[in-house]
Amino acid sequence: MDFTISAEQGELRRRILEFAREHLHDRAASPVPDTTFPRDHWRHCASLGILGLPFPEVYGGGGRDALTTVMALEALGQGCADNGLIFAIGAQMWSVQMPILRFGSEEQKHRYLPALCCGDLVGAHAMSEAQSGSDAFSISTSARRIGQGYRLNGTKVFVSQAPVADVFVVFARTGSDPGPMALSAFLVDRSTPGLVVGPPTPKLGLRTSPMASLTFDDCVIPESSRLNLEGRGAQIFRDSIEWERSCILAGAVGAMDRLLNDATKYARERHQFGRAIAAFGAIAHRLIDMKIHLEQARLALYRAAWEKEHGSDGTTLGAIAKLVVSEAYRRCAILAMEIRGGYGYTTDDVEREVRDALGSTIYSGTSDIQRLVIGRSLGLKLT
Amino acid sequence: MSDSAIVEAARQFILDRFLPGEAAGALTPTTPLISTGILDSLSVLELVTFLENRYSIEFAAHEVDRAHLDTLVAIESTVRQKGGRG
Repeated sequence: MDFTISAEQGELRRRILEFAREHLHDRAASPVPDTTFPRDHWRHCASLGILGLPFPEVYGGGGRDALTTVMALEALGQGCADNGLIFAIGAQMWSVQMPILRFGSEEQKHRYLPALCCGDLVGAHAMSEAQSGSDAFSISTSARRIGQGYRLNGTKVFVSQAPVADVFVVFARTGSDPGPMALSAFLVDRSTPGLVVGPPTPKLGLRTSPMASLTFDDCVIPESSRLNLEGRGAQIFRDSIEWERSCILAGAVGAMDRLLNDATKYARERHQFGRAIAAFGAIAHRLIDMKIHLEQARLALYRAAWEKEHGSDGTTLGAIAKLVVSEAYRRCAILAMEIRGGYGYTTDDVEREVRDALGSTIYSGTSDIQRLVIGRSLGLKLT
Repeated sequence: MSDSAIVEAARQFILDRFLPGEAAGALTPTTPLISTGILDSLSVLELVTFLENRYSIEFAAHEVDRAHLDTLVAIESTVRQKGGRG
């Protein structure tokens, strides 16, 4: 296991960092915050190859390995303070593009992946329901066989990018028994009759990554829209959530780096009692703790990405990365706010960083759920 | 008589993945796996993925159940029926 950044990886990171600082102006931090989905920035990131980083070149990707990809996304998060944009990019890569790549037919891969990689299409992942969150396999949205297709009925919630997405990965029940093969996954285009996207769901942070519910009302889809075999939904979900947990917080590690740099600069410039506040132990310790959180998070992220490429226990390492990075990210954001005192609490950029960070221990499985996953690897029968 | 290669491979996978620290002897060819809770629905999915990849076979949705996967013997028989070779 070697996490030395190669010359090629270093060059990619430098290029992305410069691009992000120069082109991804953070409109959400403007005096009048613009919290709409930044489609121009999305396209710009896509044109630089960011959305396609780990995907084969034949499908419009960059053919990078998982470790190089998270290193690159980390640089994006470091250079761009629009955490919602970075989150949206990760959500599409890991929970839409990855299941299409790993479980889709050649026709589905050629139809969707190049368009998703180049920014022409936006994709979203629809699993959670009002009564089915962590208990993901208890979903009630149904896909009933009709002739050469299926009829979808049900409602999905917390669908990130739903207000702007063109295609959805939808999980639905195709079997009547409660067993693990009762779910199937489908690729559903936004224009399909019977698919209704709800109004944007208000939320605490990541506001440039809009979220909505989806309702399927006798929504008829062809058999060719099914991803892989009937009954493979749970396996597809498990596989994609593992990628998501391993990699989606890459941008957050970059954000922590940015928060630490900003906080250090502020603490050196801000004077109280005749000296820079960085000279006070209470402030210095906060900066030191931020540095520790950052390095621990970075290591957990790289370790999980390495495991996806070379190891056999991506489930556990992914859960550990998700838990370690998200908890570190929250603490870092709050420490950055505390260092700024009153200026951190008022609505400047740090206040928004805190709101953006708070969601990280909740989405893709809460820290409690990650502990359950890690416990399973120890043979602990936890419920 | 020693256990077949398929039984041994499945046993090792289940021990490594779901029963770390358990002695190999704890899992006999006829130990019930699903009905005793050794395998829950998530672990069954992992086992199916493992068997499919290792033996280049495919399970239909209705085959992922107790009848086909509850013991190492049943697992071996299912894999062989599908043309998998140990």
